[in-house]
Amino acid sequence: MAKLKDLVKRLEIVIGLLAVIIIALVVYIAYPALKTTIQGQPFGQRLSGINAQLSSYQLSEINNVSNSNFEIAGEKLLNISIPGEQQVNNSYTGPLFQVLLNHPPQYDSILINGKPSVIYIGAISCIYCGENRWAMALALSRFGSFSKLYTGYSSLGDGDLPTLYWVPQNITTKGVVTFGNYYSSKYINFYSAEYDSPITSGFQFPATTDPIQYFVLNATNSSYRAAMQFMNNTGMFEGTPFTFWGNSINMGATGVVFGNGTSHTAISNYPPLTYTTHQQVLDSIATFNSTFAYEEYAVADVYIAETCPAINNAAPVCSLPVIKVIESKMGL
Amino acid sequence: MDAAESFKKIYRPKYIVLNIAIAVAYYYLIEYLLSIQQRGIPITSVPLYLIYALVATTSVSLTIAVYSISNTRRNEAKVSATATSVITAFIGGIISGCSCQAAILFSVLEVSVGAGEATLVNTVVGENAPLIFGAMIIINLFVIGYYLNKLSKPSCRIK
Repeated sequence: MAKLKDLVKRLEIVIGLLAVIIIALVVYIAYPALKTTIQGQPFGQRLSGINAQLSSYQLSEINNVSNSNFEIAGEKLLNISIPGEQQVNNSYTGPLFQVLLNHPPQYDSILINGKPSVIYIGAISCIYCGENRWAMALALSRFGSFSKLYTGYSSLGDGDLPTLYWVPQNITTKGVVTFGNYYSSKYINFYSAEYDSPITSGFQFPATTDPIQYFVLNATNSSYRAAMQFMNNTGMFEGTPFTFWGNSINMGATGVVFGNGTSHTAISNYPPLTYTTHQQVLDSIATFNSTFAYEEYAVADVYIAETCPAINNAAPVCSLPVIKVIESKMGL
Repeated sequence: MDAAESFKKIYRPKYIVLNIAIAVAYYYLIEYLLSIQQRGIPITSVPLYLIYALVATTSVSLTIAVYSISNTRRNEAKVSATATSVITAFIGGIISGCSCQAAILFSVLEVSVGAGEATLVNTVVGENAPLIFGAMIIINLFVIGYYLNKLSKPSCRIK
């Protein structure tokens, strides 16, 4: 009997120890998920809210901004009065900012349905596409409006920047091209094509000597095929974003805005923009009282200046004095 | 004398200072090459620990080369270790800037082989930059091990 009691006691100890080990294991395995649930995903590793549609209020922060913001930001850019700004020839730079007012390669307008076109080819994994879509959206809002936009990020391996997606993207499969957007305008067409790949990886793009042909072959309708074929025929592709604004080809981002910064930074995987939320970016754009906001509007001014000649300056934004000056500086 | 002893023998205060100076110089070389490719903003998709590891291994291999040049009769590491160190650090600076925007590599290749091939190389290198960094770190570790072993042999003893 005593032996049995001793055995039961030992069994209880073993079971107790096993229970402690199992609990420790469960906590160890579940800790990252628990931490994420409680604290949210850390900056640089976020996928939270990806592909979520912007609320009508958020959308209005893009669609309904004041034209005067574009004028003020453009003047600040040209007067070298954005904090930390410097000018060397046609390059206007700040700590995490650059705009080039070079003369872009010129082509005839791509008229589809009687309207000139803005064409965008990018990749969801690309950090420059990610930062550039904010300024693009601002510029496009001056010629029409978005009925839908979506929250996105550049890939975890390339900055994890908060950005806008034109349409929901395939964030798990490499090689899908997502065409289209919810943009409408009486002045221009907007053709957008995004190369999708796993968002948890790094930058990816068709690995061929003619990557834009991949977009031509995957185009979903004749308008997109014509737009992609035009971009391919230019032979000007040097990286993403690869865009066409009215008559002007932009090889890469004409303007780069990586967030508020006051000094030259060390080598980094994450610029300050990574450490902001979509709402913070939208609020910054709407309140228009930060260096970051001035820079975003200034980059948008360049895209506006490139587009206006193609529509014979028909949109009200084209008559802003600063747009005329930027057009002149770029030889448009 | 084995390789570990050679290492200890080399790393007297003078060479520790030299190693640190080389590491700092290499870091700024990579930062500079990255900056001029990324619009003055040294952002890279290569994990920082790989950049630090490359800086560390290239600086050690160059320090060993300098030691070899000034202290040994048969100057085994004079050209090969120096070249490996400098070339891998330089390549590191260039490929850390390969991403979605055109980089130095693209510009150089565009002139020599054409835009299509340059695009392909830029994309492939951009996608595989961490792997290439890993390979360069391994090459430097191999060079360090090889020359430490050489320096431990009687024929390469200190003058």
